[in-house]
Amino acid sequence: MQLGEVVREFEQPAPNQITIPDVVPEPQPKAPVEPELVPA
Amino acid sequence: MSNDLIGYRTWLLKIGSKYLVRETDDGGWERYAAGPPTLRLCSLSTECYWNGPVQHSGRAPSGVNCSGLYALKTLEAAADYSPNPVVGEVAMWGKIVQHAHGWRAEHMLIKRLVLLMCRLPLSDAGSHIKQVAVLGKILETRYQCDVIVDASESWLSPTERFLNRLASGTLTSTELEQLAKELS
Repeated sequence: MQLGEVVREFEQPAPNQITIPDVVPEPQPKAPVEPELVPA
Repeated sequence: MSNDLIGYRTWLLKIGSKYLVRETDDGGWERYAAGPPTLRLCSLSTECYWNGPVQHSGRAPSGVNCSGLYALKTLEAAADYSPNPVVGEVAMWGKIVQHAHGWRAEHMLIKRLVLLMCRLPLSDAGSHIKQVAVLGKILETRYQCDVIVDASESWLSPTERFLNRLASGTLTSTELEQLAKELS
């Protein structure tokens, strides 16, 4: 991406709502279901 | 009033996994997919997936490198930059390098996404509205921001607009004559 010439460098504080998590949790695969024991 | 530094950028829409890095047996490092592949935004210049609303640059930007997350000054500039179907508004913070036409930032937060409907690769097998609604919901959940759908055709190039009208049979004879003149 062409942004043109550098004008200045500075530090910017974080926005207020930055308390939200960085990453949405990945969906976890469902655990395999143990077959029910059938009484002999 | 918000003092956020706001910029605009565009992304590719791709199916990909979240990647993490782990040490290998021989002491090296390797990237591995941590989870199933799903629809994500991806940066244009590198295979960098955005896994959530916040993205960090691998290296802080400075006047002597080209690192950082890039943003332009207007939504229109971002949409014109590349014919991608997603553009959006981001808040930037940390180390910032300001350029004539935009910024490079150390960190970004997605604040709003806009789906440019005419650029989405929608299937004719089902309802376009339904496809866009599902896509909007997926992006809204992952990026925790408003997702707006822009159904305007103004984002099409003149050639795409012409081909659309040709396909829909709405070209007038005057326009065809004008085109013939331009081509001759």
